[in-house]
Amino acid sequence: MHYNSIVHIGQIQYNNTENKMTGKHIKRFFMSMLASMIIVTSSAQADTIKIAELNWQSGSMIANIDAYILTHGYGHKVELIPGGIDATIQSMMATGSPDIFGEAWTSLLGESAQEYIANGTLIQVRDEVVVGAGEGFYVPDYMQEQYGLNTIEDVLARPDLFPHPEDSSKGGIVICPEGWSCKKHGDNLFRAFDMEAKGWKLIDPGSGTGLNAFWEGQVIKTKGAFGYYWTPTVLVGRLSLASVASELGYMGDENWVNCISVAVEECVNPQPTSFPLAATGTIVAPGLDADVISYLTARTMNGSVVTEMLVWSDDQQATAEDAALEFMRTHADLWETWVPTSVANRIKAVLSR
Amino acid sequence: MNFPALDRETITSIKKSIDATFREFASNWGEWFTELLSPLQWILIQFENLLIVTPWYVFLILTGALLWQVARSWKLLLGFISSFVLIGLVGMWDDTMRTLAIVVVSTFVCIVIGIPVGILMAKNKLAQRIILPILDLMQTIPSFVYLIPVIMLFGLGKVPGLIAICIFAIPPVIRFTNLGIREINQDLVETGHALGLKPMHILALIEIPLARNVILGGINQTVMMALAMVVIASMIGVRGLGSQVMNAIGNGYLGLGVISGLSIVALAIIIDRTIQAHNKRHDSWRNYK
Repeated sequence: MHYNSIVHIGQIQYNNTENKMTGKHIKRFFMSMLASMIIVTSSAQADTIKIAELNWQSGSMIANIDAYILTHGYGHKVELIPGGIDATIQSMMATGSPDIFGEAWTSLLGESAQEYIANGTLIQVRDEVVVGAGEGFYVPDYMQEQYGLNTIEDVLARPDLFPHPEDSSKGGIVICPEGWSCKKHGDNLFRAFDMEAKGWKLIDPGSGTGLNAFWEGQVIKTKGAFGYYWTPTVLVGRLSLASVASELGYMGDENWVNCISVAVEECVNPQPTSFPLAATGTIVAPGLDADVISYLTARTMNGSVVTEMLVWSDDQQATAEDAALEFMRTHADLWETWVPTSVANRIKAVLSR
Repeated sequence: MNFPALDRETITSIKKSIDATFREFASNWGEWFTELLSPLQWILIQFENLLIVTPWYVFLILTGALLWQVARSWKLLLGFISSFVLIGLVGMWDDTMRTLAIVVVSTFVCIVIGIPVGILMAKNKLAQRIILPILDLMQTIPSFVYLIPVIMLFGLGKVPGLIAICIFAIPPVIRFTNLGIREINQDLVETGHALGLKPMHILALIEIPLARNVILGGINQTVMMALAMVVIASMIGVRGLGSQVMNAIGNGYLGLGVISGLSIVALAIIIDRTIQAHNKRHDSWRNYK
């Protein structure tokens, strides 16, 4: 009964487009429906590769590059699944889908994800997808130059330069929105640096959109702004944001992994520290074809290339898909090193169409 | 066959010139606008603080009394108290107060602006012809489109949140005021003229009282739409139930999503039923139609 109803729906759609339906069509259709049902039940056997389309610029561009190469070079069927860091890794741990997490910021994944990688439930097929990627606290360059704010400590001494939007007697530090793993870093670093006592208050941007518009708006008005962002991003380039680290430097994994990265209640004694240099990696669910794995293992690019593409897409107001296509067109020398010659030729044939 | 679109460069340059114009505007006027609306920010912050500082039982008693005064319904009063007790039990009290604060202030702003605009539309055909399409635009344009310019102008926080809410929620009160006044029996208005009443008096003594239920219906719609917008407003830093919903979405917390979502629903139902009960009590006005 269940199958019947699905085929029936399929017939209607089919009739609308083709106006004719042979037994072979019905059979093929039935088989594909059956196949897609099997996919739902056991994702390891999926013939469609699900790629997480990550909700930040470089992440979604890399997802689109992967999709392009796997589709046109290797002839796989791919599907892009929208998601952030947490949503994607949680979904992969729970269901093994999506299959590819292209630009995973490994330091942000949390402990349980590390365990899944350690025991082989998920596989990290490479590190340094984007060379030189990192997150941290930033100030606009005009603030840095005018007041000589070179470290987090310098900034924290001057809350008056960064008035909080809702309480101008306090300094405001913008951290990540709810639902981003770096939200915990912001909350715990706020405590670690004892910012409340130094006259600071958190600014909740509410969303990624809010965070971007905050930086954009403050810099347009040449006002003070201090808080979280990351590179490679078009925003850091376009607004000339300057990174500020702690004068203490990075104070080790013990503090970072076991305290700064966990929920506020579980981090009893956070210590001030710089952000670690974020390593980006590619994480996959088991069961992918060998050719996909060998491609993902070879794929890496410099932060400057990513920034170049992001600035291009900002300039053109292009989508991540456009940016991926532009990358394929202009950086053949780079992606050719990731794939065998036969695959490269197939992609070139598609590109020149 | 493709539509003969403008070439890519032209389209890009149009988009970029919109961007540049707005950036220029924001950099020149952003500060001025923020300054202009700072009293509103002060009210929002103080009202929220007041609601949060008020002990829960005082809030329940005072709001319950107000609700009784307006609606005179035991069922509603019971529903109000039990749902707020539940909200408190699941730890959503403070966020509910924050949401209530921004919704109340937004609704107030919508009423203060909306009713005069509605009256203007009812009195002036040209005004109606100009304003109606603007209201259509406000109700249908995706809110993300105006969220970004609003934050660039005003920064993050409550005031931009209030503006975003009002853009979406003000049309019903304007439409209903316009409709309510246009719909009343013109004989009564003429009676007013015959008695030698001035237009202002006709408005205050005849038209507004007669249109009252319709206007209240509009206000009710405005409150509902404001509540629906709190999730969007939380995307630009307005804390409250909306940010809990965002938190739930971001982390995939189903339970939190259900609890915070239902808290918004509870607020909406209570406000809606209160205004409806009030309208029913004053239904006798309708007989004059």
